[in-house]
Amino acid sequence: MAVKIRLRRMGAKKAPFYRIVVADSRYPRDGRFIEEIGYYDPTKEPTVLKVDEEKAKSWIAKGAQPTDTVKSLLKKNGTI
Amino acid sequence: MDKNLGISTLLDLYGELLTEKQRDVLELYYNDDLSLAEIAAQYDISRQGVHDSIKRGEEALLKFEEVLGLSRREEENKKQLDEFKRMALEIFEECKKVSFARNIADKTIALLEELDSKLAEYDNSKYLED
Repeated sequence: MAVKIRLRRMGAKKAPFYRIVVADSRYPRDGRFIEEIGYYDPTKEPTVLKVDEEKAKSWIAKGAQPTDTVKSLLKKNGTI
Repeated sequence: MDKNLGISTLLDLYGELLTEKQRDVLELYYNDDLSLAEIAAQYDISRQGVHDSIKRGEEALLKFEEVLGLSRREEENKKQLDEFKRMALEIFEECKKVSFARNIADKTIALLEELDSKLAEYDNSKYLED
């Protein structure tokens, strides 16, 4: 099973909010996910990124693929 | 091509003006964070086809924003509401210092409630909880 770490948009109109989730790549859009490992809030100034580093690292070590967007966020906060 | 999450906000505002297909592709790309290849597989079209569709959709959204400026205006609106709230709270604090200001305080509370209900539209904090 290929596992991905991706952003998932939540939040109403005018109030975007993203969860960072670990999910099976075969069902990208059905809302199910294996674990939530953080969030990204672009509405704050500066933007807020909160990640459970331990979990992120352990998922990546187990072969989970972060999307390019998640990868760049994780790089920015020094997780990877 | 780096994803610009700001596009997601424009999609909220102008998505209905795009074709259904274009909107779907942009939603998958920005709201579900799918890759070009994953979207291509889902629609059974080429990666290049998805790329072009996204580019065109983005250009349309940016054009709408340039002409209509709803996103800019929402941002200004939010800033202004925050400022009004700050001022109303100041008035409320002043009211506490004088004994005859009860009716002003009541009106200020009503104003603050009004402002809070408007500001709630911009609030995403409920997603923090669960």
